[in-house]
Amino acid sequence: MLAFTPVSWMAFLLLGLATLVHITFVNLVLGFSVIIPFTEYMSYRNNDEKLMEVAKRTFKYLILTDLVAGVWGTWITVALAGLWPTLTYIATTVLFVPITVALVGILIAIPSIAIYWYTWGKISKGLHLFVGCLMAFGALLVPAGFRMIFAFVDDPVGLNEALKGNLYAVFGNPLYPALVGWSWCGSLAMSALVAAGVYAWMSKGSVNGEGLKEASYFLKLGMPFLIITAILGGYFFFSLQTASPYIFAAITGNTTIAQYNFLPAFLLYPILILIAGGSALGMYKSAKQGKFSRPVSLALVIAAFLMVPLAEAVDDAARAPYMVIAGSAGLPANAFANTMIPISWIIAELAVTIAVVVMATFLLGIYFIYRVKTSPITEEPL
Amino acid sequence: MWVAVPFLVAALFVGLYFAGQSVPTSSNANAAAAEPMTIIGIYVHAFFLSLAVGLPYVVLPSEALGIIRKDKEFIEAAKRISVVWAISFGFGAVTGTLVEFGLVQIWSGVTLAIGSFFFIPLVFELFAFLTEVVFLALYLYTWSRMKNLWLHWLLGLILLIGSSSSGALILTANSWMQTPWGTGPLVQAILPWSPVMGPSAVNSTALVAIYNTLPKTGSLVMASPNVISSLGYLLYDPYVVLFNPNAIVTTAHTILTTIVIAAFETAAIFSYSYLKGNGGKEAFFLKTVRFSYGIGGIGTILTIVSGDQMGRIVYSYQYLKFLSMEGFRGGLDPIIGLISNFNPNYIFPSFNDLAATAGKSIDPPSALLTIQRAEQIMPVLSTLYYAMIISGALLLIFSIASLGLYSPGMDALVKMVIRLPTERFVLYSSFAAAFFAIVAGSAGWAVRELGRQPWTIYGLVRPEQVITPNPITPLFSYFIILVEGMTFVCGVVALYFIPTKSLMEIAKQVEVIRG
Repeated sequence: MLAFTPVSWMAFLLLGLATLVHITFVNLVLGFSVIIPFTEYMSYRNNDEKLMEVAKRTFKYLILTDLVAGVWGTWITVALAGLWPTLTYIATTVLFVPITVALVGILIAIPSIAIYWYTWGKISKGLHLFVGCLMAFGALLVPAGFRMIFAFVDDPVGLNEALKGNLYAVFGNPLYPALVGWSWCGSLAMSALVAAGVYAWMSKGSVNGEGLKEASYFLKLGMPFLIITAILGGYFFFSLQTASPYIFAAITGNTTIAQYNFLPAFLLYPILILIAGGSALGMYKSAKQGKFSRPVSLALVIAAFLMVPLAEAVDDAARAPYMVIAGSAGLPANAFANTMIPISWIIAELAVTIAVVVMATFLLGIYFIYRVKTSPITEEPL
Repeated sequence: MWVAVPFLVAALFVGLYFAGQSVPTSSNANAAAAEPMTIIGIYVHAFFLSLAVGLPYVVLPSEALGIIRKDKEFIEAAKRISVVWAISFGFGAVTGTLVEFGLVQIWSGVTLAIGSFFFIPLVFELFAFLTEVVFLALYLYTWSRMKNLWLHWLLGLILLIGSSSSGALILTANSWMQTPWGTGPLVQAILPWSPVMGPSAVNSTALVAIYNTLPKTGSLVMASPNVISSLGYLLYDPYVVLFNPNAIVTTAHTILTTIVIAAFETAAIFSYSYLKGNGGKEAFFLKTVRFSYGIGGIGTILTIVSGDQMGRIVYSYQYLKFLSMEGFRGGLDPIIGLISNFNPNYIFPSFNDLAATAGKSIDPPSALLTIQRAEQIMPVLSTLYYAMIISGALLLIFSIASLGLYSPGMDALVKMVIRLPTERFVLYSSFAAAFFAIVAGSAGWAVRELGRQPWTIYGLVRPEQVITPNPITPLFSYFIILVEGMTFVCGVVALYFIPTKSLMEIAKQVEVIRG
């Protein structure tokens, strides 16, 4: 059995933690970046003021989630370059084109988010929608680029060709299309269903329509994408069997090939999809009668919020103790971890502890910002 | 919107032109092709960053004065400026991402330094950045939401510490590229005229092996984890980088420069509002101009003091850069001798004197190349250096003259010289002050970066050794520059329009004018 060194253990956990938080929130950012301009468009088309209000209110969540996702995205970059220098070098060299695509996406998405917010109601509707489309396009480009890294570490297609100069060979990766499609649809399903669940929860089961219309709207948006996500997830799962047998073995509990058994964690994914699908369907039916069950809406929020990050976490953790999978084995994490500076077990454990505490404090800080933001304005003391 | 169409068409044609250009075939050509987009990217980032780091030093004193004097106008000024601060932070973060990716993707060999010498500064910077993000949001969202106003101010203070620390840590990494502190006599072994770079905290055998390997393999050496791990530790004490004297002085000098830029830019914007006379808030605008101009003035004096220290660091650790920027070939110069050595008769070693020592180097061609490059770059470097000095001197004159706002004697002197009361002088000169502050900051940074040529890490690593092996095609370079330019334009437009007025209002005004 391959053992971790202090640095590879620390690097694996720090990268994993940052990626998990980032992926969780970035999926909401991606989903909302598409849903909000669409909602704005629908409000114009149907002349529906309420939908416009929904779009604006949802946008405030987008900003907060983007703050979290952005910060932890930066953590990932530094964790990768600092703790996995050789892997980062190989990735940025071999995956030059997809990373550039993602970078362009970031450069389009972030300013357009700011411009979209600050120009709301201040420029013409068409121009504002155009900025919204830019925001959505930029957001969709980001996973189109970065998902290649995940596909590559699961199955390093095009490595040798890329090192010889053919930088487009990596696009032949059989896992990539499913992974990108899954990310796009998964994030849309996740965002729409979480929003539906939150609005339904806020409606407190009332029949006066408060939160009811919003929840129904988001349910209609999220359910088709949930179905597509489930199909693409299945397709990705079966692709792993041939493209990345080690991961397939790990998530199906075949410990003759894999070192760790991730079957129980993996099974949670279809269960969460079923819970999300079932509760969404139930809520959709009950919405027609003008009421929502709060426990069902809570189940929807939890299932929708966890399904995508859980699948990501299982896929990433199933590589352990390898960093890059090649068939039924792989290149161990130890081979890529930073060996250039001395890091003892004490430092490694301390660093992971501090990172967890900081992560928790940061999320609490964001929650506090949310509370402050929704609190009433005090009297001007001067 | 239609105004943008001709620009986009022009951009398309220029793009087609670059698409037809030849692709670089050597690592030297690749590095040369990557340099323009890197330089532009860093300057665009620096533009927003200078505001993000410098504005807290304008906002917080203004808010504090407002609380102490119970003056709503100072609070209002702080609130308005904090919006600009937030926007510049946002665009700073976006362009920072660009620079960050540029570093790991285009100059991918630098991951060798990120994993060793930059490790501690960058890890600490993560915490500073995190503090900055959380407290910026808290500070902006809690205006008028806290009964105890000092509590809100305290949030801003933590934010100021976060943003300044973030800047300091990035500058620490940059300073290590100027003076590789902790490498002991290693740089001296290659460039014999260089002093010892602090204690020897490195694995010299491994670094010499890398030094000998990089010219043959370029950054591709990083693609082999076995080669890197076979070298063992590169750095025994990762914290040594934090004690680099260059980092300490650079941090002070650069942060003070950002304060000067931010303060004079604020003064210029409020002067414009005052002179335009809109909204009947002239007294408020004037008060803010006086206040921010004062901050700029204090910052200017402190920047000049720290600039002197910066010059001494360059003289001590990068003597060739010192000669190039002074436009001085060595020998006798009473003024420079007096300033640098307190001895007007001091004889400075010349380029030829240094070239004579190249034989002592373990790599004489590199030592000679360094001297040759310093001589070549001298006209450009000294022009930039004196542009910085002259701009700084003018800012000092402006700052002293602005004392006329408080001293009748100085006011009389200002009136005598320029036939304007000090108040008018401050209003008009704030535009020039903002311009000269930007010139001084930009030229100073250019001197710093160009002056370490032909090295990326002074005396150890060259640009062509850390550039990606992937060809940087002219079209790619053009595309990135275009994106950088568009980001800059968007940022400037946002900085102007968001805190001032809506585009819709302008559109209405245009409609009115058109009738």
